Amino acid sequence: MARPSSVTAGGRLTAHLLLFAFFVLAVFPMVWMTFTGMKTREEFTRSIWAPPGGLRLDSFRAILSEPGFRRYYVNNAIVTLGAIALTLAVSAPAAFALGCLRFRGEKTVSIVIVAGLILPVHVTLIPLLKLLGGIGLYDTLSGLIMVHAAFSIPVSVVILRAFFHEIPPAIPDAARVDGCSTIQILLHIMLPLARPALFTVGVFLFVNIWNEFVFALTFLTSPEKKTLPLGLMEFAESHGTDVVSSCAAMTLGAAPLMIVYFLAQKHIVRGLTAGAVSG
Amino acid sequence: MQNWRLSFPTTCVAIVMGVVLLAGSNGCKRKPASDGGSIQRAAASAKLAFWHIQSYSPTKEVVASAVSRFRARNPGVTVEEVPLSNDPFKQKLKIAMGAGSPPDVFHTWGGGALKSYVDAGRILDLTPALNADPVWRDSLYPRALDFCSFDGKVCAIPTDVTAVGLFYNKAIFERLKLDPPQTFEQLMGCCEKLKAQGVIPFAMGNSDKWPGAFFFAYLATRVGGTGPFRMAASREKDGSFADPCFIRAGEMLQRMVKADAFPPGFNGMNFDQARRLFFTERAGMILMGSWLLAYAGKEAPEMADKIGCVPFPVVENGRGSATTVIGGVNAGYAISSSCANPVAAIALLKELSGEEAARQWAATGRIPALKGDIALAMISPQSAEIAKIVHAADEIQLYYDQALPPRLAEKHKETTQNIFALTTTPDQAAKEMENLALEMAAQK
Repeated sequence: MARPSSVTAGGRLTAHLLLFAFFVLAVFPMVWMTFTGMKTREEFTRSIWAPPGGLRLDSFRAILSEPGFRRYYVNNAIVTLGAIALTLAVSAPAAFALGCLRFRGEKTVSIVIVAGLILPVHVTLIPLLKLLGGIGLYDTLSGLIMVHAAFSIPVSVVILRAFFHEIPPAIPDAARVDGCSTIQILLHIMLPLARPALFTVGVFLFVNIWNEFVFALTFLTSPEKKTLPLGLMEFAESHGTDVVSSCAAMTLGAAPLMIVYFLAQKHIVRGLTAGAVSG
Repeated sequence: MQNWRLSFPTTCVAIVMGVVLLAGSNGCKRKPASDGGSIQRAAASAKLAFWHIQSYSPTKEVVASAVSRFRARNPGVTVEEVPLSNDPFKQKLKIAMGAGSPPDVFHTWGGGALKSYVDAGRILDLTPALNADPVWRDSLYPRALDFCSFDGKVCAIPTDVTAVGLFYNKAIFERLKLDPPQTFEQLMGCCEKLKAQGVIPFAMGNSDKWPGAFFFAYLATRVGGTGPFRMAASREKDGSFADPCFIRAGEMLQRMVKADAFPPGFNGMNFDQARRLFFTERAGMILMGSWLLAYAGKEAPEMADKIGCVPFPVVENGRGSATTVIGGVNAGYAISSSCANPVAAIALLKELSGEEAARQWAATGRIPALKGDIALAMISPQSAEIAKIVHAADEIQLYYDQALPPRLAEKHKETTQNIFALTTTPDQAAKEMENLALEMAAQK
């Protein structure tokens, strides 16, 4: 009888083939997009599949030199980082309280937060627009940041709570015996322990918010406040069939995502498994 | 294991700190506050929020220059001009309307979409303003105004019209000694001859559904006139989408499909790919809106002298007039009823629809929505043929999908696509349309 932990050579081959197929599916569009951005227009019309003739960065440079595009980048960074900071500032303490502490109304708070997960985004657009208009935050980046945070907090709390819950109670208990207050336990013991989980949530939010379109479209109006997805949409429309420029612009738009993902990859893998095996 | 009285306030403090930090760093400047107020309190500040979809050259500049002329003449009024892309504009406007904070002046295509806002009481009636300025009123093209008028009230000012014409490659037709078709049978003959010479008869990509719908609308109009559609759409006098003219139009379409009048794989092709076939002279004809010429100027300037345009052929024994044109409003501007400065907004509309703006519109290859003699005098040479067809028309049939309420419009495009794909019969398609129309009428 085969031991459950051992994998046959055939099984391993199948797994690798499947993984390779998945790898191709995931990477191919990005490579194609980057390659296309490096082509000249003639090269592109000759063959859409052939690799570019050289490492040509003219299209990228042209896009980066457009002041509008730089503006979109900056706006997008402000919104994304702001929303992540606000989300983590709220959800880390909340997840700690729900995961490690016991208090009256714990269940109710949990349910209210999880209820936020099932709210469809589109039914909230009109009420949110009225709300933001009423408090003077329509067409401001800070208004958009708050909306993003409001929609990111539930999922962040759920992920982080699972993580805090897995930390053995002996750790905070020991700290308390040593005279730590609750807030000190959170700041000095739990948050450092939770770093992989915070990273995971942060990157997850980064991907979502960096690419977000509908909220930005609804709550921002001034051209100078546009975020990158809005800018890319406009760019694609105004450049029509200029696929090369569009691909270059989209590559530039996706680049921060890829960089963040590569840099944080180690932490993410740890974060996703940490909840399951730490102890 | 832990008493909650301590931890709960701590959490609260953390939350409040986070919010204050962010709001403080970004939100508490004076400017955003006043911006935010503008969607609700425009009155005090004489501000006009103006959303339009001319978001790129060359038409972006036309709107921008109209706005700057307006600013020069109305120094007390601030115009917040917001150019948006097509689909985002529709979505943003819908939400803003829903939230009761629409822009003061905004783009519209007239037709069914505008009507739904009119019915909801969201649009300012422009009739009094037009009557107060007869010179302005009389300079506008009445048929275009019709698309923006409901129950005798003008609800938007059109600035340019589009129309569908049968564009053909003059060089190919000359080489093969063909005459542009005047009847449907001649059209079929043309297709036959083009095909025999290895030329695709019609460049058409129907994955977006609307290019095929032009054929359907034209054939149905040539067979039965504009009456059956008008009556079917308004459910008056036994009007029906199962009218024989719609079924016959479907049969003629399938005849064209079976005769290979369209490129292989046209059901999966889009407009971009289709027009490339025409611009690279692999296809002899294309049934398309006047905007084709703007694309030609941009993508295939060398084609400028080769593109000819004729009216859509007549159908033997058809009841429709030979000069009826399928068309619509490409851009028009409406004022929301919540606008606090209607006088300023109307002045902006006059600037946008005035002769100076129209001349610049015309220079970009568009057909300004002005009376024939004024419009034709300023039209650019490449648009002259289609503009003449428009102004010679006895009637303009609005694009079916713009004239119908959204659900029916979608059904119309879907069933027409199925007719083209030969996955349904014209009879079945007509029944499906009629059933949905009946169902929607019953719900009212």
